[in-house]
Amino acid sequence: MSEALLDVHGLKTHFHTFAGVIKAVDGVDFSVDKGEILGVVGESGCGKSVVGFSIMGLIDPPGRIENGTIRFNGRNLPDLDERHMRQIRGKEIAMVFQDPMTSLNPLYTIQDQMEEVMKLHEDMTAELRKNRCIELLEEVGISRSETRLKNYPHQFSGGMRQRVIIAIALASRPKLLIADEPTTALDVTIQSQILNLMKRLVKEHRTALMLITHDLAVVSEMTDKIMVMYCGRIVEKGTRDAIIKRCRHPYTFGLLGSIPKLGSRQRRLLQIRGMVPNIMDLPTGCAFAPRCDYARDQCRRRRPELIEIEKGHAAACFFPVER
Amino acid sequence: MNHLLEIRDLVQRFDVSPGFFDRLKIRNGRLRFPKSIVHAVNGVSFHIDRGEVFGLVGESGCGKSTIAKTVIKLHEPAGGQIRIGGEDITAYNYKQMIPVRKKIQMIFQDPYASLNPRLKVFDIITEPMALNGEKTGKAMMREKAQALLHRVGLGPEHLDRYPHQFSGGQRQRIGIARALSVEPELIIADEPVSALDVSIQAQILNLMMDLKDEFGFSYLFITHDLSVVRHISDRIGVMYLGFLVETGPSEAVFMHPKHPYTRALLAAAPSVDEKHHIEPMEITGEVPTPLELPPGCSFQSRCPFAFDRCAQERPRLASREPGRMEACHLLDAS
Repeated sequence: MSEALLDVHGLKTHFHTFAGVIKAVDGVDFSVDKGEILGVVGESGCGKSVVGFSIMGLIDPPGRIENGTIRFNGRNLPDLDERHMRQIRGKEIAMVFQDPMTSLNPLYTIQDQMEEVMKLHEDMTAELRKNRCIELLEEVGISRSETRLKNYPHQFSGGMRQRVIIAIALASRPKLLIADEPTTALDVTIQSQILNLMKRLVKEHRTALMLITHDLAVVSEMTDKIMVMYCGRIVEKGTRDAIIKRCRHPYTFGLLGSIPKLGSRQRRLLQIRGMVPNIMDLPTGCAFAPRCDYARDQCRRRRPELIEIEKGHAAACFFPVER
Repeated sequence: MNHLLEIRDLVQRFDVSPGFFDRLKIRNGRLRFPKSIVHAVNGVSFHIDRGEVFGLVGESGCGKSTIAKTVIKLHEPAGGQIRIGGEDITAYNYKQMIPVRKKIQMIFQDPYASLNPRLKVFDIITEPMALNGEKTGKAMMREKAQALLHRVGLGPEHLDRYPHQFSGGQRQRIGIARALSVEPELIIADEPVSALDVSIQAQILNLMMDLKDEFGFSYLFITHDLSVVRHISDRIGVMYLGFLVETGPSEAVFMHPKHPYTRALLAAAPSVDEKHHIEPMEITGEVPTPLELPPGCSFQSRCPFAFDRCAQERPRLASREPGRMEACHLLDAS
């Protein structure tokens, strides 16, 4: 059996605050293969971003990875010390953040910021580096790239900055790209430009992509596999079609129903009642039970495990939606 | 019969010039002090009838929020006409606006910023009534506030709490209750759900539609989210760079968009369901600056179908089908 590029098993990342322990990620298993696009969806506070940060080794105290393995390319990342982690971060795993307005340093030119990655990870002459920068900018669709290299971030628009950030992320040809809400701050037409660009680059370079977002519509257009998170756990995961067309967990079902459809008009939206519980004070059984229309006594007593329903499709629910 | 709201050729500009010395420039050997003017809204006309939901869509900076604020005269219009129920309010002063504002209420985007953190929910909800000089006893006010809270899905125990004790969705409900308190005829909702999580968004949208059916008011619904606007609106207007480029019944516009920008916008919108009826179309580039408007069509720099005429002459909204209007030379040519 060929090993997955990234294999996360039993990951628990907790934050020990004065108010109590926040179990931001509480037992998450998933894997990403080479060249695959995985979508991680959930509402704010479900722990989807913490999963990304855990893989990157960017969890600072009071946060801690309590348990679990993150096997990447044959190595377990939490075991590595900071020096080794730095060799992986930016080189083998790169990250694109949400806010293109703040993730570039306003005091350095685009060229300085693009070359930083190459200086750290690659042995290249200044000339080679510059050529590579120009090449990268052209790849992400920035014209007049040679003059643009000398510009500062404030001379770029939001969409352009996000293109630069993607160029930086791809600079050292990473094997895995983690994009945390990469287009949330952008307008629709720019969003579609950036998403198409990412999809094309990822497929061309056979880079794996973890797309973390709250937007199910974006995920359904981009990904091969989807996992849905709720209160720090995976409630459902599977192939794109399994989740979008044949979802079985009531939460996924509710989320999909909550989105107004573009293609047809419905009178009322399906809604999930109530709101996300306080993560410090989760109910004993299934975390979704208080909002679930199908919940029975069993759901309030025991926590359902993620069980495979069909090949490549698993849901954590005692009474999956029949459809 | 008069329309509930009618705006005609509304123009709004903002002077964003820097200080005197920063403006100083020498042109043709002479000192000049050029002004920087943002052309936010450039001659927009539309109307809303009673009980109707009009959705205004567009990307950031297209002037949709400016229209909302100009309609209730938080900004003085720079040109054009605003009529509420036939009454021309364009030149009204602050005092004359007070009875008009009872008819038009607003729901804002950010539920964290639109409620005063130092007021209790009771005071927030009853403030519009008090400002409109409704002289009723405190007991009556409480009863009314309770009824309003109940209507938006909150309980009487919430009356004496402060905004920070509520979640985003609950705060938006309080904002809605405040808007309802003076029984308005038109509610202007400026991105009311875009700060909320998906599941909460659906709750608020359903609530807003239920309230509309119950009280029979109209909405001017402003959003950048196409699927939301399609869900909620009877008619829509699509804006680009301060111009209205297409307007019509929402069903017709979504099924058969005519203006190239509307088509591109629809093609770009991500969707869970398959969009069979929309041909794929990607537009390149970005929205030009509203500081200097291009002489021709505002969309020409990004339009894949632009031709000579588009650079010379600004297209005007014209009707080619009853109820629909588009501003595009391409549609004249064919």
